[in-house]
Amino acid sequence: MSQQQITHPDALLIDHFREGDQTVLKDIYSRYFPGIKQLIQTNRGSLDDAKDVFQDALMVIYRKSLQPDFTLTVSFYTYLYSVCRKLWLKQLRRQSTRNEVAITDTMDFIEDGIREAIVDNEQYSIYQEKFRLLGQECQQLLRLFMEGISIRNLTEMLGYNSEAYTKKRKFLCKEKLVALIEHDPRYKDLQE
Amino acid sequence: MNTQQDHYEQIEDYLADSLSDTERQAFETRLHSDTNLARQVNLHRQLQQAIVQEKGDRTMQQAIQQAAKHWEADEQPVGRTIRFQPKIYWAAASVGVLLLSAVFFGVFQRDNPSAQALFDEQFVAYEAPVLFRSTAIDTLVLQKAYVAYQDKAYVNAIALFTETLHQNPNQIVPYFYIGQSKLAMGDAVGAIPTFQTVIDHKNNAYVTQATWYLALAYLKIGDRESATAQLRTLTQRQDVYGKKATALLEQLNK
Repeated sequence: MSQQQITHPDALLIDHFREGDQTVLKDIYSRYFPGIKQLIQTNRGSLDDAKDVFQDALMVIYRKSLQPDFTLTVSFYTYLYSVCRKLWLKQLRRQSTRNEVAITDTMDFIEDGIREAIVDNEQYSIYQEKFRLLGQECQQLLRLFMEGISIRNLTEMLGYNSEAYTKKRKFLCKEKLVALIEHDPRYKDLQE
Repeated sequence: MNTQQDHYEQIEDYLADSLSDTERQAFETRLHSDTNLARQVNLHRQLQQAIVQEKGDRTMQQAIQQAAKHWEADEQPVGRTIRFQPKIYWAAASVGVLLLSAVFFGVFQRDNPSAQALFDEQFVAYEAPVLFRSTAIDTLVLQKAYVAYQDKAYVNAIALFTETLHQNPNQIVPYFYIGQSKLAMGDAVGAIPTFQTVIDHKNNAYVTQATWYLALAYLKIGDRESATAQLRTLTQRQDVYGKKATALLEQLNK
């Protein structure tokens, strides 16, 4: 039985957050960082850990909010807390020799979709990091192609001698990018 | 053709929904049974999103870091940081060169009216590629430059094409359009070195066009000898530039 998702009033906050509005971002820090700091420090983390987790979580939420099917159905803080919690659990598991890692929660949280949002964020971070390793010409060519510029227009814009040459350059740039991604151990870990 | 290239292009065509119905059905049949293909298609799909989002994501990361710094310093909200905007300085420099060139041209034009008349008759700004005008905040500087050029906002176009050269100094095409913009504004002196750069590079698709416009720029400043030299290199061509160069040479030699 499907349940219609009800949008939380904080959806408006998400819209301003997504624009990178400094007033909204500072407000988010003022209101929510103390709670996240308490979560991390209660669970064997430092202040710097809390800052890193908070920033990472905001990027997870930002990237998730760009997806057309994203709907905020809980408060922004609950969602933020849930992402921070998951990120910190992952960190604790990496550091621990035990299979199970316990965490002391300071409020309610959700699980639905959080792990996927974190994985997507890590993948996108890897893709963009490797993309920036390409030469400027490859970055420009791939960026324009991905934005929907036709091969014909790309050839003219970039001053290449033929469309066949443009296609070849695009393929070589993309092949290099894919190789960089697939050789990264973090990418392999995410596939498992 | 390289098989791996074909494979990538087929994935891209599938994601762009540009396969025929038959091709799409065959591809989707393979997709359902081939997990490796499914993984590759997913990777290409995500790469497209990640690359399109890259500038926006970087901007957002910087915004978050800035908010974190302000919160940590317990500062009151401040106005926007004034960033050095080289575009303004490039635009101002271009206007300055334009004014100086106008004085310079005035002298030459008094002495070479027929050369100026020939320039006026022949010069039509080169038509840039037709582009999809994106309203996304992270539209590439190069795209914005082309849009400015198409809109005949030449000062802005020069600033934007110059910015792309700062980002990637190995490009050649921006020099051509900087030259076009300058020539369209009457700054033939400023246009000449940019067209010469395109011609000297040799390995690009704008050499012929740059040679034609270089000839016109020389005409604009009354240097018939240099204009003739450029036009002579084009007369052997069988295309529109060869015909135009031959016709213009005949007029110059009258």
